[in-house]
Amino acid sequence: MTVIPLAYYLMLSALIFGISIAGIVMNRHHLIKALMSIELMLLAVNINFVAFSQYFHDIAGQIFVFFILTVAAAESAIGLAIIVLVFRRRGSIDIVTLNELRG
Amino acid sequence: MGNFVALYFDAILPSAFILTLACIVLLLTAFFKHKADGWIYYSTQIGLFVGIGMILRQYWCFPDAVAIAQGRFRLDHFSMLGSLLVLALSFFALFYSRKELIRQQLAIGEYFSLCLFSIVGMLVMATAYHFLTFYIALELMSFPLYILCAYHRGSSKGSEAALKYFVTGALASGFLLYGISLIYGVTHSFSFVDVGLAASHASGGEMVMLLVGIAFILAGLAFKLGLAPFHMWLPDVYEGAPPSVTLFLVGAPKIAVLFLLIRLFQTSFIPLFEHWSEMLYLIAALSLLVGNIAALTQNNLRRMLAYSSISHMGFMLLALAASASAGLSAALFYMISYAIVSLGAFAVITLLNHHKGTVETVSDLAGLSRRHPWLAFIMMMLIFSMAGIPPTVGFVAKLSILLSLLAAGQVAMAVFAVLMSVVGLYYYLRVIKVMYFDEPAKEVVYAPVVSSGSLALVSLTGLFALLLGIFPAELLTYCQTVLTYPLQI
Repeated sequence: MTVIPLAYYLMLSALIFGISIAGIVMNRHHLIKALMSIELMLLAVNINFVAFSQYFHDIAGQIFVFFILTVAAAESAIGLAIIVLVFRRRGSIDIVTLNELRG
Repeated sequence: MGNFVALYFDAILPSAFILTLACIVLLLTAFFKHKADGWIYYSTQIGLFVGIGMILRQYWCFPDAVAIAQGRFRLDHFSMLGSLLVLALSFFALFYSRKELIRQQLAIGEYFSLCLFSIVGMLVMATAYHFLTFYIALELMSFPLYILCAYHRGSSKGSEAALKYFVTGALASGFLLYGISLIYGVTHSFSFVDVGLAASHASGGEMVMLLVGIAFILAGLAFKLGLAPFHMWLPDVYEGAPPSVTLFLVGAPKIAVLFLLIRLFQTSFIPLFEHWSEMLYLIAALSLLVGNIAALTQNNLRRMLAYSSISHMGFMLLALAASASAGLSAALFYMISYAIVSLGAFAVITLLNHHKGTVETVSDLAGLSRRHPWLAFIMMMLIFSMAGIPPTVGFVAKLSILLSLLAAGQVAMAVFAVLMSVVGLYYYLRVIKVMYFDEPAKEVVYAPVVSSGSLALVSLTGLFALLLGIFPAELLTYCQTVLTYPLQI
């Protein structure tokens, strides 16, 4: 059985991390997309942790992943609640309309 | 074994107590609704006081540093000072919250319980000695703050501020985690000490990966401290969040993050000092520039103070970048004095809010010297201290940072910092000019209604700014003694 080299995992996770950053920075309209990008970012980090953990035979990295997954769930709950609030106030979740505070 | 349990118990007592209090407050709110409001307020404040007492007891129980839970936490005088400051500053901020919440007709119970959960996060953060503890504590601190920003459900500014805070905060924790994963990849460990040991003999590709990891972690922490170029959220949140939440945000969270920053960079990353010190210089210089220049054009008072806070954080970071040991005490002194002074300034603004009108722009302060001379005087002391005018504490703090910069041979950076402070004088002195010499534009002029207790507490910060400026030696030497702890492994 061939083993996939560690570098491949790292490249994959760097790629996904980059995509998620681009998703947050370049996204001009939809807030849900920003929330999805945030989740994607945490998952990219998880790939890193699991890959290192497997490669070094050190279980700590995988335990860290459990905590990240739990925290990510709490994070998206808060994010969705805030988005619902914004939608109630403005009737839209377009990022362009969020311009009351500036300067 | 019994001894071990007793040690464990003493060590986690303050955070466990505050956590229990937060749950009790939540239950009281759930079962008694608004009838328990007074109880909740007083039990929170008394609880914070008891927490301070428990930490003072730790000073006596643990004269030396101890590591708890296989080195996941570390208890020494440094972490105790951090916890003490967090509790005291939170007590101060919450003292002004109740009146403000009643004025805005917001629920009291959930507010205090969220604040308490956030305080638990800060307490754990001050003692964290392991990346897992650090990450969980940081998120425990941040999540309630996101919710608190949106606490005024009727305010569209508040929800917008909360959303911006949430998205940038989540981005920051993503950066932080990516940095942690890279550092784990090089050092195979999450413990601060082991990372430090592994970092001291990293070389070649490992070194590069470690530096990229440090840069990511620094970016994440800079987001939380509000340093340029990661400061976008800070002015919006300070302006948009309810005034009592802004008051909570300016003090304790920044102290907690700074204590963690010092601990992490002194324990784990100190072998790579000359590499990350350049990153810190860059961020600090950028913060000084952005903060001071952007504050010049602000009319909203809280927004102006937000930009000024960015420049202050930059100033403080200069000392962290300048030296591995001597500059640290200057940075710590600066942060402590700035946290208290800015808390005082925001408290004055919150106190002036009135059901007939709130203080939003700088010109709303016009004629304050006649409406309430003593508050105007206190505000003047605090603003003087922020501007760094002797004999206030801000002057001593700025001076000690400049001295540590000169000791490190960074003359150009010191000159730049002084120049930026001169720019800062313009917008600070404008506030004082408006308070003392301008006529109020509004037709309805009201005298602020201030209770004697809140007046006494806010006077204490003004007095502190003055007294500590005249007698700074004790606190400075204490900062030096305390900072020997994170330096020893």
